Amino acid sequence: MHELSIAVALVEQVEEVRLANGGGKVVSVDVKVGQWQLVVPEILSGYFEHLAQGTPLEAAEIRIDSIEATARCRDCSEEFRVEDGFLVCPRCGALGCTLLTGDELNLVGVELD
Amino acid sequence: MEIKVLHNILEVNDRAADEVRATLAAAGVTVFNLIGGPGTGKTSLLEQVIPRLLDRRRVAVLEGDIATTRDAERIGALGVPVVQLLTGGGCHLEAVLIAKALEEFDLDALDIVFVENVGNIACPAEFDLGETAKVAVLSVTEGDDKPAKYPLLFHEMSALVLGKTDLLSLTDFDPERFERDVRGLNPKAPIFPLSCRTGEGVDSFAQWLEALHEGREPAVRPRADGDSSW
Repeated sequence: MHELSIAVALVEQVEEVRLANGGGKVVSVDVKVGQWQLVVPEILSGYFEHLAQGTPLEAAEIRIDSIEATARCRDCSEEFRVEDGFLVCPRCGALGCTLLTGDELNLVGVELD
Repeated sequence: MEIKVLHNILEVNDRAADEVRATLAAAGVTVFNLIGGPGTGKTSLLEQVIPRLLDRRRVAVLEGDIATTRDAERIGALGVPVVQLLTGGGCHLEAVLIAKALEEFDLDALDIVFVENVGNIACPAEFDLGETAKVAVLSVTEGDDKPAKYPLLFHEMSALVLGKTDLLSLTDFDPERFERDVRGLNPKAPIFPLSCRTGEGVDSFAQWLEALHEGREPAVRPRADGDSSW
């Protein structure tokens, strides 16, 4: 269900970018979504397309790049893919590693006609 | 024409949350955002905790629900101000709803506000409400595998309540495995095992709430500086 809130906010942001760049029609929208956000890409796309109807965003293709969770160990600097959501260093066993990627929810590109 | 940008999609919510935070800081009000699944015991927890605070603290509650005012009626029976937020199907609360609801209260006459989020452990974790601290509420009957399934909540929380401990012997919940998994996501947040039926463990949680309100405990906000850890 949170996909709807995200789609509403996304449509507003794309519209801001469009107006700030001289208007025109939106051809595509690029979004990065981290796996920890538990967003279902198909549902987000569906809401986006629904909300875009009758607007200059109507024909836009939404491309969702899913980002896997990665982290870095604070003790030994090992960088690793986060398995099962746990921030435990696979090399030295330290807890509390820093999440590097996986919590993104970003608009990264808009292509205008 | 291709335009590269980098916008947090939820920045409108985050801006509203920052305004809420500023308003609350000016009034000296501490806000706890309780996040847990349906039936985990969030309202029962408030029914236990609020009477333990009332002789020293002025408390109010924002009740988030998809529908019905049943929870607000239960909280109203405690004699504290309560505002019901009905999301009409929405699975989480957002900061603009909190900003609006707080207008119903005289903030200068309050110390602590509890926000009972909509029953859900996925979506509410993403939406900053301007709270002082997120408290995850889980119960032993839900199983010990939840941190692995919903890492964001356990990463973002400042404390964890593990309820229904009176039922522990009837379940396959493994406390050691659970704690190991929680620590794999969040090494520092205190864990409060408790039972709202027996009252066991509730005092410790109430003491932590007060310590945080008085500034004796840090309010851990892992993402405040854009860094995901602390």
